[in-house]
Amino acid sequence: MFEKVLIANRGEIAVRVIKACQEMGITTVAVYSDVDKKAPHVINADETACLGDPTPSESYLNIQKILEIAQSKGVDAIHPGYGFLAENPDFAKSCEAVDIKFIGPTAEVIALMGNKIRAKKTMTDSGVPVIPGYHGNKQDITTLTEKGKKIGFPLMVKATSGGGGKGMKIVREEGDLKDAIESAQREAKSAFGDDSVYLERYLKEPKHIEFQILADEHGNVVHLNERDCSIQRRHQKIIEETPSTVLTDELRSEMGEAAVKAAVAVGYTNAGTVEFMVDTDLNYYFLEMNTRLQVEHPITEAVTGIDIVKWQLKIADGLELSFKQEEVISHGHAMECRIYAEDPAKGFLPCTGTLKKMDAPVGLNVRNDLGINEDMEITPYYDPMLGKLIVKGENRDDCIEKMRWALSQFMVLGITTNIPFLKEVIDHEAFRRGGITTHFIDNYFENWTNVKQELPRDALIALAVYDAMHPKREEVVKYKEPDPHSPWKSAGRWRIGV
Amino acid sequence: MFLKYERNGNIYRVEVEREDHEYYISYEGDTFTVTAEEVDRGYLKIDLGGREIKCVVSETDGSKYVFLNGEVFEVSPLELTGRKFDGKMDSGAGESDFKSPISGKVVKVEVQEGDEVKTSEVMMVIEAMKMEYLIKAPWDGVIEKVNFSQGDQIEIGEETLVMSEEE
Repeated sequence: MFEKVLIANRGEIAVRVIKACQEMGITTVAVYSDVDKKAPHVINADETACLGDPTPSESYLNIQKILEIAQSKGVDAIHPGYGFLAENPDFAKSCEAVDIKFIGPTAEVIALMGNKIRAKKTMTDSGVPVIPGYHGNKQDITTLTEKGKKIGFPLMVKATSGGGGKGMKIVREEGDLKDAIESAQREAKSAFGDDSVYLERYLKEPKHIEFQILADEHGNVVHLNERDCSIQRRHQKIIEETPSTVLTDELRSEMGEAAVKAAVAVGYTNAGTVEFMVDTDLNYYFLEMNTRLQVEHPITEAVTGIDIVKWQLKIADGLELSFKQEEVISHGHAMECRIYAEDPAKGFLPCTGTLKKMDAPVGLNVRNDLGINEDMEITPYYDPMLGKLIVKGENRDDCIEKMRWALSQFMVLGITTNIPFLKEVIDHEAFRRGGITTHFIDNYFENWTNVKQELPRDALIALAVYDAMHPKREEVVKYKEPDPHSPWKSAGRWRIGV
Repeated sequence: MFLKYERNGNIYRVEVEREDHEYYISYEGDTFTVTAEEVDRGYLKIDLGGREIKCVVSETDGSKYVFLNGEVFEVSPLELTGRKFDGKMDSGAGESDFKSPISGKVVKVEVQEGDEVKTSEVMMVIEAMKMEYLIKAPWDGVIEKVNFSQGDQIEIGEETLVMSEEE
C-alpha cells in the first residue's frame, strides 16, 4: 500500500481523505493557503506544506506548486478530493509524468468525460440512453428544423458554447421551432461569438438520479446503487438521499447496469458517478459522468457500509475489488444536508466572517463531515460549504425525523447559514411525499425568507443576562487612569443622547 | 443597565439589573426575575420561575447571536444614543436617553449648566458594583441642566442631565 499520500484539497473533503489514509496507516500530507493555517485539514494531517497566496489559482489550483511539494515530501500518490484539480486531465497527466499516482481515473478518461458532447456520443454508441437530441455540425436551418421534428416536443435549443441560460429556448410545438432556433442563434452569436446550437428533448419534471461506481484496474466494475439529488438550486445540490423514492427494484438494477456499462465503455477506473435525468414516465437518460469522488458519497457509505475513499486508495494501489455486485446491499435510508455559509433570505449570498461558536450533533447514525472549527475565518476565497450532515434511518420517515433533530442540534454562531432553510425544506409537505423534481426549490421556495423574524422573549432574556454578565470593557474603565486620554478615546455603548 | 437590540427593523429595549445570580429584566412593562449561571463561556442556564432556558450566546464585532431551541437569532446591539436608527424605527422616539444605565453613586460631575462640551467628553461618572460608567457627550453642545451632584445616589433610568439637541 502507499506509504504517503498528499491531499490536494481543503475543507471537509480533505479531512475525510486524511482520516481514511490514517486508518490505513498511510502518512498524510496536507497543503494549505495562508488563510487556512489553522483549518481542520491542516490540524488533522501528519505533515503539512504551505501554498501561500490564498487565491485559488495560486494555491489549491497551482499544479506546479503542489507537485513540487509532493516531490519534496516524497509522496506515492495524490488524492485530489472534489473540485479544484479533481477533474483536470492536465493535473492527472502531470502526476503521472513525475511518477506519482493520481487517485482517480486516467487523464484520457477525465478528458473524454469532460467533453459533454463526446461523452454523450460514447454513451449512445455503447447503448446507454442519452437525452434524444442533435449535436451535429450542420447548422443550417433546414437541417436543424428537420432534426428538431425528429426529436419531438417539447425540446430545448441550447447554445453549444453556452451557459447561464443565454441562447436557450424551450420549444413546445413544431410551429415555433424555426423562430426559436433563429433567435437562439442570434443570442448565442452576440453572447459567445459562436452561433452554433444543439437540440435536446426537454424533460418535464426531471429528477436527478445518479449511480456510484467503483471500478478496479483489473476490469471489475460494480455500482453501489443510486442517490437522488433532485433538491437543487441552480444546479447546486442541497439535499441528497438514497434510495430514491421513485425507483422500483427493476428500474434500479436496469439503471445500475446502464451505469456499469457506461463505465466499462470508457475503461473507467476508480470511483466515479454516472448521472441520469429521469422523467415523469421514468425514462432515464445519461446526463454526465463525474470522474471523481462526489460531495454526497457519504449517503452511499451509510446504506452500503462500503468506505468509498478507502476503496479509491486500494484501487489506485492496484488492489482488486473484494466483493461482487450481488454482495452490494443497501440497508435503510440515508440523507445528507449541505451546510452552507450563505443567507437564503438574501438570495443565497455567501457569508463571510468569524465562526465564533459551533457544535454539531452526535448520535446513532449521525455523521458530520466538517471543514470548520471555532474561531475560524470564513473567507470569500473558497466554496461556502462548511460541512455536511449525514443521517441514516431505518426508513425514510425515520431518516427525516433524525435529520430534523440533527439540524436542530447543529449550532453555528457568527456566520449565517442555510440551516433554517434546510429545516423548512425537509418539513415541506411535498418533500415528505417524495418524488421531488429538480424544480422543487423554484416551485416552493422562490422568494423564501426566514419567517421566524420576531425575537422570542427567552432570547431577549438570554441576551440581557449575557450582557449583564459581560459588561463591555469600555463601560468599566476606571475614571482615574494614569493616561488621562485613554478612557475617553474609547467610545462606550453608554454614550447618551436623544 | 439599559440595553437596546435591533433585529429585522424591530427595536427591543430591555432593562436589566443584577444582584449576584439574580437578574431583574424589564421589557415592555413586564419584569422577569431570573437566576442564571454561565456553565461555560456563552453557555447559559437560566431559571425563569422554575422553567429552564438553555441557550448559547456569542458575539462578533457587529452582532450578537443566541442559539435557543435549535434556532439561531441574530441581533445588532445598538448604542443608547439611538443615532444609528432615527425615530421612525424607534418606537420610543422623543424619549430622552440621558438616563443612568445603572443604579449607583455619582462619583464625579465634570460639567455645569452653560458649559460647552465636545463629542465624547466625559460629563458624569457613575459608580456601581466597583465599576465606573462614563456618561459622554454624544455630540458637541451645551449643558442645559445637571440633575445630580457628586456623592448623590442615582437610580437606573434617572435623567442625569439635559443637553442641547444635536445641531
